[in-house]
Amino acid sequence: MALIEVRNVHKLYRLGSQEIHALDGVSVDIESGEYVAIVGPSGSGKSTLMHLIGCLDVPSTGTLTLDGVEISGASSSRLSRLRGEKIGFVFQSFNLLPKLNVMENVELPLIYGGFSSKVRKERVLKSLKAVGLEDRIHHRPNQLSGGQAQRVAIARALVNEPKLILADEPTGALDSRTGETILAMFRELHAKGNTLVLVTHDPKIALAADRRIEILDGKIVGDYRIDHKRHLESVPEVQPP
Amino acid sequence: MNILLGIMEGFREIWSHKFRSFLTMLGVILGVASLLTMFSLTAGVAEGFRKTLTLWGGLAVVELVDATVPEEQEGIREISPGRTYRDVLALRSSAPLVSFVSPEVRINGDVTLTNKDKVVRIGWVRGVEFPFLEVERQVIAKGRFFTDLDLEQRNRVIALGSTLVGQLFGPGQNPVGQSIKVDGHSFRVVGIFEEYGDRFKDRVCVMPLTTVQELWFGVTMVGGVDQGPDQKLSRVMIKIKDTDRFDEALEQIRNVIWQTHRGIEDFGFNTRQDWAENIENGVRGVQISGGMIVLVTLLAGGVGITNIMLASIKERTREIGIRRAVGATPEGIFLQITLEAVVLSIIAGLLGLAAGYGLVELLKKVSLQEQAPILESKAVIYSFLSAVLTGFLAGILPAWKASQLHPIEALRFE
Repeated sequence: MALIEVRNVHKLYRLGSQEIHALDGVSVDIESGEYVAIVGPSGSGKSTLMHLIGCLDVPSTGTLTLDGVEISGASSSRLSRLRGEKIGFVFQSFNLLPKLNVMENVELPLIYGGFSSKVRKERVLKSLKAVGLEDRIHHRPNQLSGGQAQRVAIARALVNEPKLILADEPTGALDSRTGETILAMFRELHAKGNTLVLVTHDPKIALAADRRIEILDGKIVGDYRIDHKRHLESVPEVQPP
Repeated sequence: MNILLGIMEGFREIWSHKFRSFLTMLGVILGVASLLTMFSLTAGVAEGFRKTLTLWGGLAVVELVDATVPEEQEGIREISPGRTYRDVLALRSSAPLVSFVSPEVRINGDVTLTNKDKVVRIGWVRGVEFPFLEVERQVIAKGRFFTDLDLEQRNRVIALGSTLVGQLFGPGQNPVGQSIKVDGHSFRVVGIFEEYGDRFKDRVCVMPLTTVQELWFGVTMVGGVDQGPDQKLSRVMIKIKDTDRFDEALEQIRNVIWQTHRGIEDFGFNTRQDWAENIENGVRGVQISGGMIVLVTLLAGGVGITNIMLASIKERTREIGIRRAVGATPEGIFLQITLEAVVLSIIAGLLGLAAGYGLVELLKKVSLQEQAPILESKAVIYSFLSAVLTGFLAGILPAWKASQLHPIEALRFE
């Protein structure tokens, strides 16, 4: 069984009297250990798909299972716990809490997971070591560079040993060189066996992944394996509508 | 999310906005301070009253008083001799539930006490017997009290309270054995009473009952004809043996007096228990009405907390979104915000207690000594708990709002 199974998922939003069909019959499987990029222009529905995969929302119709757990129809509390246990988020704007220091930010998912303070400390240090920031534990987010902040966010995403790491435009707020180091870190995490889903509008960034799912107007329009050894440039780009 | 971490988070949040938090707390601080002050003031008044009550004989004392005769006895009321020494004798011999009966004859109008050039006028010179000491809890400090011989021979002896001693002989003097004039009659001071620190009790002035009867009540003129000595007593104070059997004792007294008054119901009882009840009711009334006013203050304080916290939740929407994304449940968010409000109100409660304590200490300096406010632990606990409860209730609405934020919307919030 695949880690993520999306079956004929629709997502409707109501904006006043208007109904917006953000996802229109999406079906896709993502296996454990994959490194997938979901690509599409803004308004394509890629963010909606990411929210569903990330258990931040539930489908209007269709089924979505994560690690064997059906999430359509799950309560808000249950979704929260699933996020805490199985998913690590990396956001474009880092989303660190400014009042907490690096250590406390990374610790947050473990606090909600109900781990003892000893376990929390061990895991936080291990996680920060993995991103090379173990010497910055007492810094505040505003004392960090963008790249460092995103690495803290990655450490936070890793700390609960998630089944899936979801990154939403993780390089969007970084200069290209820093962005590359973040992508290199993702590759490294993938090599260690983590499952990564990277959501981006930038096809070049998407090249970092092994598989590329293209989405447009709420539908999957392409699903390729990327062969990194050959013809990187030959992969067709998704044109904005 | 465990409670301890939630409390620490609450502290952090409050500390990061110290001034705003203080302003938020102000209503609750004032509420707690006034609650504590109110409790202390009323406790002081009640305690002052209790002390006075004890000083004057306590709850076991009953006064035999006149009462309006019922209508059907109107025509025959003359057959009752009224309150006389016979009542006292009858009670002493026939009312076993009574421990002491103290008869008293009071000289009408002001009496002049003179010691050489020192003159004091008082309106409360009384003729009493030995049980006076028991019933009014008077203690002789120097000298002696009246003996049976004094009563029998109508000796002209007098016992004085400490204030009068000070006024007639100078403070700290021992006048026992010296003579003073009472309305021109020469009296020997045989005893002086202890100093009690009570304005009235320290001005006591007593003589043997029989002496007063002879000197001031020996002649009753009716239509130019002497009707003989006036046997009426001004007061009869009765001390009951066991206050647990108070009603029973009162019934017994009633039966005895009914007989000596030949069936005429021209008497009643003035009990300290009625008195005590009235005062306790009064104190409770003040506490309730004061409590209501303070409740309004606390309510305003609570609304203040709710208001500021709603604004703070709005400000922290994104933070809440992040917390939700990394696994915080709606219940977890609810708990965290509620705990924050509770922590805030605990701090406010402690500050309020401190302010209230200061206020009580200040009031102690300016209020009557016998009614000085008293800080009771019960009042401290009630005041503090009311603050915590206020905070908890005030936090519910913001906490609910925060817990209902959708994580996606919250994460998008700028």
